[in-house]
Amino acid sequence: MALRELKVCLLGDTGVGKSSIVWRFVEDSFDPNINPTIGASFMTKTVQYQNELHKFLIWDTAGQERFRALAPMYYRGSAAAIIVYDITKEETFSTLKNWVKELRQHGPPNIVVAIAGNKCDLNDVREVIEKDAKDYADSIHAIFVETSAKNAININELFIEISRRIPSTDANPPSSGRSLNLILRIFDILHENHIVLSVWRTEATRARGHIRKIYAFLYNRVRVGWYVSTKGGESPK
Amino acid sequence: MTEIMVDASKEHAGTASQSQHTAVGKHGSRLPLLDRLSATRGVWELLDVQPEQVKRLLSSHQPGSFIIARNGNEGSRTLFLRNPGSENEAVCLFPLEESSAVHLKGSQLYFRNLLELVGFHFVSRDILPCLLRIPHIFQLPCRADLDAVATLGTTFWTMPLKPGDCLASNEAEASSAEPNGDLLKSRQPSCSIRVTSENAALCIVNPLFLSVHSDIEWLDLAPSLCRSSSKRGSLQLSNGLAKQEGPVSLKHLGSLEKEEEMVKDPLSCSASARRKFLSRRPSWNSSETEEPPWSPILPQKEIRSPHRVSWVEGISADALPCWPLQKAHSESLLLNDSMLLPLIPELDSLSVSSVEDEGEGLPPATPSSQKRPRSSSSTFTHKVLYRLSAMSNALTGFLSLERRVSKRVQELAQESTSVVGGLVHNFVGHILRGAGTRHPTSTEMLQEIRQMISNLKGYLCESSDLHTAYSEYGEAEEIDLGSVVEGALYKCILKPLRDSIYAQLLDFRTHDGTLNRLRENQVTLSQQSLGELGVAASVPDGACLERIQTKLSLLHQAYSPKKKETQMLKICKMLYEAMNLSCDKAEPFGADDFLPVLIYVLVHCDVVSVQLDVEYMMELMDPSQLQGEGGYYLTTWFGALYHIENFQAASTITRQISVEAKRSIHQWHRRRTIHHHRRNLQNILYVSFHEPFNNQKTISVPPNMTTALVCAACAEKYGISDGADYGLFLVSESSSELLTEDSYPQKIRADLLQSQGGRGNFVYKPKDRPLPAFGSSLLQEAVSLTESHKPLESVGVEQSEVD
Repeated sequence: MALRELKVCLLGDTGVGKSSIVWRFVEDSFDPNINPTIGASFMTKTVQYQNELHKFLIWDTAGQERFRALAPMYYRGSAAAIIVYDITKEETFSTLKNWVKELRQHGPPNIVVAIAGNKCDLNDVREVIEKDAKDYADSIHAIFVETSAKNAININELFIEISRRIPSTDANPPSSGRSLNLILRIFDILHENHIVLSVWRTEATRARGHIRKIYAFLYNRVRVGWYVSTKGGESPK
Repeated sequence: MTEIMVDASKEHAGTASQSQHTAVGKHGSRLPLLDRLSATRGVWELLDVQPEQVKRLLSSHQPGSFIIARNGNEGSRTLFLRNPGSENEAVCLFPLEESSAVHLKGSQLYFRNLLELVGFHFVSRDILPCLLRIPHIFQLPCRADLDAVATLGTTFWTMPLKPGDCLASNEAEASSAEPNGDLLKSRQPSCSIRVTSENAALCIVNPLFLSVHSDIEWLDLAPSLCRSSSKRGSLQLSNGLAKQEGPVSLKHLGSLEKEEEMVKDPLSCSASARRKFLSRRPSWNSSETEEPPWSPILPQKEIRSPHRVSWVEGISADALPCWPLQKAHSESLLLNDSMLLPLIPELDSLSVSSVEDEGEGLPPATPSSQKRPRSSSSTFTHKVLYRLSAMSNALTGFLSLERRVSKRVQELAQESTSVVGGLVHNFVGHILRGAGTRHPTSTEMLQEIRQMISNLKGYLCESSDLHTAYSEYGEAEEIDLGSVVEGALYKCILKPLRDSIYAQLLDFRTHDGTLNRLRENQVTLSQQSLGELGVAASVPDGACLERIQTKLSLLHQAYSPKKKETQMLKICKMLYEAMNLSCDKAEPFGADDFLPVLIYVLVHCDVVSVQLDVEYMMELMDPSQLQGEGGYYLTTWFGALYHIENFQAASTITRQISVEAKRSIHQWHRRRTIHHHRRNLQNILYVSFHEPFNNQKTISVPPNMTTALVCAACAEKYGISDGADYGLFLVSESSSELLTEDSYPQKIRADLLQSQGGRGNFVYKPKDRPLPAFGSSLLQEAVSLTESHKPLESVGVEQSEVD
């Protein structure tokens, strides 16, 4: 199983709930006490998609108008962009259209664009009609979902859809045949369950070295229990 | 897929050791520790009881017994712990601090609630003098019983002790003071680590985890009270028998090697047989009784680190049972090289950056002659020390390999006769003499340096020089060679160049007006209110700003981009903490909130230094690291500076967007293009401007690209408008040859590599102007560079073939 790092950029007006969506997506994947990222502006999560592991590196951007000029630094090199608007605020949908234009002009050529209409739990005060947004998304071949970070609606679906649209790497198989994924699990003693903390892809020949390195690294950091295992790929010989 | 079991009852057929059934297998239903604690909370959390009474209650109980109560009337909860130490201080107090998280005052470990805190301290003592201890009554298997216990409240503590409870440990303490050889021979509980291989999975289990649970067994509390308590006794009993004669030490060495083997070679272990038991007697196992090989080393630890976090500190060297130092020394001669290395200093630190902060030159081990009264907790600490020493020996061997490689790189770089040394020496001299100023922009100057680091890294990673440095370990792929070499090269190149680079950066940025604009806008922005700056979260207060400023100066002083990055992330973390201070927001802060706060902070700091630092990091960091967290925050810092520098009154902003965006993209593109160079080294041609090695640039030249097209590319790169007057020359030691327009530079380079070993340099210069006369220092340097440059070119080819 291959591990791919996918840079995903979050765009959209301030206050539409960009970071809430990511937080929802990421929160159930590990214990906050061992969250390896220092803040919510940059978060990661690894999910399995078919026979690949996708590690999303999620870059949040500041949505204020005054920081518009900085966006290219963030979306450059992104595999996907999630543009978020607030279904209760018409103007956030107009901003979204500007983002789409800018991405088409300056963004990476094959960037996967996803449109997320957030706060769909507030249907009573809706200003953007779902069908309008859906039609617009279809017209630009973008992914479309209405989400609710608050009620965890369609959050995972959004990322699954992104995984699905990311061009497969089958065309460029890795140079070395045998490869493994090292999976680090933390044995959470207090709750007596296992948490997958991280996954690395490595060539089988290097696995030993990596395991030792992880081992050394973790030794003084994680005091409860942990283990590293290999999964996928061919069996190590 | 994988399976771990702590199964101490397995006996290895081949070992002579007697094993004892020490652990119980799996139990169908057992309550998790937290549930047990939760159920019995009424017993150990006595908030209405006066402190004096709590102390009285605890004083008759075993060390490690504890009660949570209020100390005085302030209302803050306090952990009362029965101290293993002297009688007059029988109960220690550890105040709890509770804000959004609970922690012991003075500890860095935060917990979501009291239960978790208590639960954790059964496993790791952190700042406590000993682990917390569960009264055996808590081990009752069923919830209803526990509930019944909980109703006892204070009376629980005044009930007469169970005989087994008390006796076992007394016995253990007695025997640890007075070892008994017979007992040792007859009962040696051993712990086996089960490594299974199912579906090609393999696992390594943290030995600390295993051993903690195999002997303390609180995971397997359920089955029977008396069994558990008697077992505890015997475990501690045998553990106390740390005195052993010489031969055992050799045996121990053997077992340690075996252990190392397992760590080194898990793949073959797991593959050799499915579901095979690797039963052994790990040296870190508490119930093992071999001699610790680290005795000459231990005192150093004690001197270095006073009582702080977990596992080791605060333990007196002679808490070990009267260990004859001399003997230990002679035994240590039997141990191999790596085992003699001191304990890794970072090993017991909780600091996240402790491994990254390279510990250069460990302090020499100094034997201690201090005497301290033995504490009864030493039985436990012995166990820990055994484990730790074994682990650290394994790890030291491993880490020292990195150090050796790093040292080797530095040696190579210092030998001016070696290829690398010559190259480094010339390059450093070249930059120090002000070569950087010949570049039109600071970005290009830094990229030249980065290119040199990348090239040397590529060369070194493939070179035989380095392979011999670690071939003795027989495991070529054990370390992340790239990052080790990268770090060593920082030291060789960036350390001597740091000041010069900064001077030149300052020069560039002063001239192009960046710094002036920054300073002016800094003044403007610092007069704006938080609202005007768009800050919604709380900002760091004065004290926090001071701490940030301290970190910023550390960041500024470092020469290694990696260390700068570490400091930068620490600052970002402080910002998040400050933002969260006066806020109960459920979701954490994202970029919408973070960026304005960052801008606020930068405006209140030395923004000019930060500008130079960010540029330094941006260009010199390992490009492969730029997609991760460090890359994200570096981008954000760059963005914040960019925003400050280009700050304008609100009315003009909208019109500027597209221009700014374009400019930003353009800049970004330039600074990231370098990252693609290594992908296709085969097509890279190094071209110098005007004279060899001046303003050298890399140009992507496929084999079928003609000189005319290369010239066009050069004209664009060097910004030459009258390209017709310029030509591409092949300059070697004595000759300079203008290449014809229909020739193929890559082909010429390939021929050159074969015929002359690559001595030659492509120079883009005016056709009618001669090269500077021979004898000038620059050209001599250039020639020596040419010679030493040869291997790099061949590396380029090799690498791309590998790719």
